Amino acid sequence: MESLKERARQINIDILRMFYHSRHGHLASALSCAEIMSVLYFGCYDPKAGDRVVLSKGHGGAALYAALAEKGILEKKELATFYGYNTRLIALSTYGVPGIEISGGSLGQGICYATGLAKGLQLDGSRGYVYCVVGDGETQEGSVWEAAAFAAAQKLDNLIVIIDDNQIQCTNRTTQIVPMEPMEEKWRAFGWQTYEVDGHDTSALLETINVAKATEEKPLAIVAHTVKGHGVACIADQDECHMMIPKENEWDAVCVEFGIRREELDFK
Amino acid sequence: MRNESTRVVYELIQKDRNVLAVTADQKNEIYERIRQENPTQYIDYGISECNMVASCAGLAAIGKIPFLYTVTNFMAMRAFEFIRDSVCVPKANVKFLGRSTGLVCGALGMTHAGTEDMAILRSLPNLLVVTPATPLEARQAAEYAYKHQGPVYIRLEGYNEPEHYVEAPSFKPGCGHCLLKGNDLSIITMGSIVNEALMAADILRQEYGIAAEILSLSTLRPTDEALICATATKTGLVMTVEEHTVYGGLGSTVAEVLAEQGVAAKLKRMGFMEFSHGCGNREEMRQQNGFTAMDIVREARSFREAQ
Repeated sequence: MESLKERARQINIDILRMFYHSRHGHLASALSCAEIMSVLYFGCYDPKAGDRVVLSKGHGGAALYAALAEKGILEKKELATFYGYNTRLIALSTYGVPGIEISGGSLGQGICYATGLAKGLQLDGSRGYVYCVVGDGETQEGSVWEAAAFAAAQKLDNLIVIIDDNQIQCTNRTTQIVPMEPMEEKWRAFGWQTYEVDGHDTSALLETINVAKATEEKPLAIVAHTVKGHGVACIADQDECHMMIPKENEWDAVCVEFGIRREELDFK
Repeated sequence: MRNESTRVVYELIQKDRNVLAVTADQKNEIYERIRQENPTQYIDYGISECNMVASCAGLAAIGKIPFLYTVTNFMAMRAFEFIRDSVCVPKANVKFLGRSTGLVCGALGMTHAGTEDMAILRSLPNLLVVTPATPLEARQAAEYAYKHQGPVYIRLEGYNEPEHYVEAPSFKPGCGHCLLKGNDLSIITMGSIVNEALMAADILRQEYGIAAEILSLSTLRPTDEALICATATKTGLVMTVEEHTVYGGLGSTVAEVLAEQGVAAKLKRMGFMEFSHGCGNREEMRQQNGFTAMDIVREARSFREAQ
């Protein structure tokens, strides 16, 4: 079996390909959660056990599409249609794409949906887990905290929320708009078992999730410290990187960063 | 109507373990009974309707059939976008029992008076929106909702709505009812205000010799276009009466049908032009807001005399 790191690399490269061709969209949001998606789909997700994955921050949609393609749920060639005319692979992760059961475009809904999945599995005595990826900016939505309080009240220890904590939202750094730190303390105060981890370290992420699963009667929040635009120096961690795409003359440098040739940015 | 519809939930819970009674810190005596007798099929989300709505879409995705019972404004309005994205888009099998619509919660003020729910909810694809007029219709609507795969919203008003059926005609979406025949004027209603319209019809006939036809629509989408067009063609004068804003609800629906079908009839819409006001029980609230049988009589006469 290929390592998680290699899976993450493939997902990252497919993300780059999608945006190299679309020239629009939320590249930085996708790069922020590429490793998280890799760990969820290749280290955790077991559909036979009843597991579900919900991307609440739909702006990372390209990372989800790439992970679904790497998993074989989507065909890789379909990634070439991303952001294109009448494609189903629209910018934000959307209902109707195979493997996606809820749209992530409207922030603060996916995590609420995930609490229902987890409650339903709990009622059925299922051993499945619900994995839900939430953005740190998304936690400004009040419904996130409605969901957090409810999950703790219902002792949903089958719900694992990973906060993609990249510190940047649509127009600026979260600290410059409405700071949500200290993130981990907030979830703990809501009655969750909490962890912090480097969100780009696939081994550490997987280990943290596996450790977290031993918890009983509490939902699990893993604050994954990430970099928005991770791996692409010309956009990474810039205040307004939310919609940034490398310029034409910057893609060669991006290829060097990922150890690929320029022609590998084309879909086969 | 809230008791009849929640009683259906109670009965369903006895035979189907996937049926769930769900609320956001609101319950009646029947939901309380479910809480005590079937605690694993009862979920109280607390005062957090947005989470409740999307979470119930998640429950439905696992195969559960949640019946959400709470104050409509906090569910249909506060959580409207959640109904739209998380419930209606995936056609989640979620059932909404919206209480406190119209003027039933008069003493609680306009925050609790659901007077725009039909306008916003009938705009949503995939959502079946039902407006029962009597407790028996509410029972039938809830039974239908259970059998119907997909989201359903039932506008319940509240309690003590009069029953005018011994046996209610079977519920069918898009099928309205004519409760009284007449040739002079059509009065189309939704919900329990039909009782005021029936009383108004008596007065109009006995005191003024006006024969009003009274119709009740139990769904706005789909709409009983044939029934609307037939009565409008017959009388040429159509009044709509709704405990709801005139913008976007029953009156608007009837206007759309008449215009699109090219029916030549005059239309007068009775309903809220402003927010509801006052304080009192439902009857007192109808007096203060101009929704009594006498108000309907007055409006009907002036409508007729203006022709």
